[in-house]
Formats: sequence, C-alpha cells, structure tokens
Amino acid sequence: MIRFTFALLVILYTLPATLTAQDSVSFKRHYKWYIPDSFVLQYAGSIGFLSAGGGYDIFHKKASVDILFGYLPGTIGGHDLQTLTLKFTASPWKIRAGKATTIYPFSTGTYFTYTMGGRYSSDLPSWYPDGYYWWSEAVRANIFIGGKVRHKVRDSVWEGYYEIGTNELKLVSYAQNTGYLTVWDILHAGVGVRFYLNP
Amino acid sequence: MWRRFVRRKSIHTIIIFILSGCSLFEYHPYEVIVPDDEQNLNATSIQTIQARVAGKDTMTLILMGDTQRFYDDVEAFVSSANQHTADFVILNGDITDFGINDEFHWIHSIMKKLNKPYLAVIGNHDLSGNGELVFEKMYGPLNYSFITNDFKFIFLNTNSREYNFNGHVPDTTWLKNELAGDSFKHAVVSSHVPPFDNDFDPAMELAYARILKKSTKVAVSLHGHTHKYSNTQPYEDGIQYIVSTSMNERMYLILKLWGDKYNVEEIYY
Repeated sequence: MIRFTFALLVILYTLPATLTAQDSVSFKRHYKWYIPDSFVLQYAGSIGFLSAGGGYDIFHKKASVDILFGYLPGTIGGHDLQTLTLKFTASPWKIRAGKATTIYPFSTGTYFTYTMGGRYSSDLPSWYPDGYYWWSEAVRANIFIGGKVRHKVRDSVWEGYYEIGTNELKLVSYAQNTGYLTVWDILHAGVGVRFYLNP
Repeated sequence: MWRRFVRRKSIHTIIIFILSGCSLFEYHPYEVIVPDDEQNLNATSIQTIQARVAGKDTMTLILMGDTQRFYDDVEAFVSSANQHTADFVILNGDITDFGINDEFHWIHSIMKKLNKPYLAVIGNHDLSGNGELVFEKMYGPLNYSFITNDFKFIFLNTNSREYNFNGHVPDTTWLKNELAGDSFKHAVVSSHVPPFDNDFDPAMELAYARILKKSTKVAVSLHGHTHKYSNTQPYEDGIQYIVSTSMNERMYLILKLWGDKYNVEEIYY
C-alpha cells in the first residue's frame, strides 16, 4: 500500500507537471518542469493545522495539482501529526470582478492524505487475518467543494480559497446513520492562500 | 489612521473566528481534541454510581457494547434503556469503528442522554489511529476499577491482537493485584475481548481464567466483541462469561447482582 501510494504520487506528480512544461513553451517561462507554479499555505482541512507546498496548473489553468506537507503540533492537536497530501482541484468557471480580481465561484476536487509514521499502518499488519479491518490507518481519501478569489497585486498573483469536504470513513458513517448524523457532522473545512511565483 | 485600525481589527476578528469559533475546521481525523466537559467521563460516572447504589442489596447493570458505526441503533438503545430501571450502564468496548476523534464525540453525545451513568471500556476498534489517546483523555485509564457495596468492578484492556500479542495485554499482574485484598467481597471483571476469542492472546487465555478462579470472588465476567450474545461457562469453573451483542442486533442485557448471585435478562428493542 505504501508503495502503491507513492507510485500514485509520482505519476500524479509528474503527469500534470509535464503538461505544464509543454504549456510553458508558448509562455515566457523557461523554468524546469518540476518548479511549481505556485506556493500554497493552508489552514485546517483535515490534513494538519498548517500545510504548505507547491501547486501545478493543469488544463489551461482550469485545474491544479497540489502537493502539501501538513503539520499538526501536539500542543494543538494532542499528538504530533505529519501528513503528505496530493490534491486535485478543478475550478471550471470564472467571473471577472474588476480589473485585478477574478472570482472562481465553484471548485471541486479530491485529495489523498498519507499520515506519516510507523504508528499508522498503510495496510493491514501481518498479525491480522485477511480483511480484519477494511480501511487503512495512514491513507485517507477526501472529496470537497469550495471556491476561490484571484487577485493581482502589481506583478504578483494571489489567491484565497476555501473548501468543505469529508473523507471516506465519515461518509460511510453518515450513509448508514442518516437518522442521527447530519451532513454538517461529517464535513470539515479548510482555507488557504496561493501565491503565483511567475504569473 | 482610522482605516488602518479598522483593517487590523477586522483581520484580528477573522483570525479569532477561524481559530476558535467554527468546529468545521478539523486539523486531522486523528486529532486528540476533547472539550473540557467530555474529559474524565469514567471517573465522574463512578462518583455518581457510588452515590446511586449506596445501601442497596441488589445492583442492576445494563450491559451493551459494540456501538461502532451504529449511531441510529444506539439512539434507539438509549430510548429503550431509559424505560428500564438500572444503576448504571457498561459500554463494553468498540465505542468507535475507526478510532477517530469525531466518532468518540458522536457516541458520547448520544450516550449522555441516558438517565443513568455509563462506563466505557476500550475495544480493539478504539485502538485504531490515535483512538487510545482519545479514550484516555475522554474516559480515563484503559485499566481501572472501583469498589462499591462490597463489590469491586474491574475494567481492563484485553485487545491483545492490537499489540501483536506482545504478552503485556491484558495486564495480568495488574489484574492479580486488583483481585487481591479484602476490601471487597465480590468482584466483577469486564473487558472487550473475551478470553476464549481468537483476538485474546492465546498464550494468556488459561492463565487469565485461572486468575479469576483463584480469586474466589468472581462470579461473572462481562464482554463484547463477538457481535453475538452468549452466556456460558467455557472453563467449567463456576465463572459465567456473559457476552453482549452489537447495537445493530438491537439487544442488550440487564444484569442483577446480589451477593454471589446474579440474573441476566435479555432486552430486545
């Protein structure tokens, strides 16, 4: 499972980056393909207290792939947690709001989070019978919706975004208990900023 | 000047709102964040129990467990249990399915509507992720006991498989010490995995049963885990092993204890 996750990470990491590299031929950019288009800083969102990483624009900037490192210090979360997140976000529509501002009213996407450390097993350890637990402790799959605002300040471009989502464990809990649980019980939110390095 | 003040103030307000106000902001499913009024729940319940049963010859317990991912059924259980007279409820492990912070909170928010106190025991599912830490913060130690009306109630972690059968779970030394002494006449032992289950350390099974037998004070041993009601004497030593079923089976047990006698009633709801 670890190997599978990392393979997936590498594929999803390189694929959009390659696309961006091809795109960039027609643009003025001459950076190496692996240099991210943007830096991201996120608060909450079930991947850490604060998370930071790089983003790659794909599909003519209608979507992005982010790779984030998240950290939740023990003083806030009761136990130190470190995560790696691979996130795909699509923001298909935009509305111009003035010269420097663009609103993306709707985003949707998915992210996979890997929680680091031997404490959280990726697949079932050998001392369990097959199928004893069906989920992985270390890997979470999330889906979300959200939105963002892009703002140009002189030569740089900033974005602010929010997202509201859930993970597969909370979703299955809700699906089987629609009497007691409400949608609000299973949702989690995150907010973040994105800074374009070379817009 | 004024504008700068307003701007700074509004940013400040936003940050405070984000950091404290909204519960939607989750940091991690395995965060160990428990509100003050949901901490040390077992210790608080024990105080209430001791006050409730003072002077009673017969104590009445409700046995249930394996509430994991059966929220709707647990709500129905609470409605049913509130119709019956009992001194307290034992939730015999697998409070949660995935050991995530939210699940502990959801179950407690249902169980706190009981009109009697409840005690929780740790189950194997509760040990997933950081569940052990959440349990400790919310309910207290994994192994604990209290004495009331000449009875000692002992609760312990028997989820051996979660520790790769390392020989330390259950803590038989602790159990032996708890069963020693003469500050009580009778003892009731409660844990999630029964000793005759595959998930109990097979190297410790018979030693465990012998400890209960040797104490001469144990009449009943209470469990969950199997998702199937059973009421047997697997070691033919006079000790009754009573296993309550999971909540989706919509059944729980009422146990009456007096002296070294007991009675079990099955309640379907």
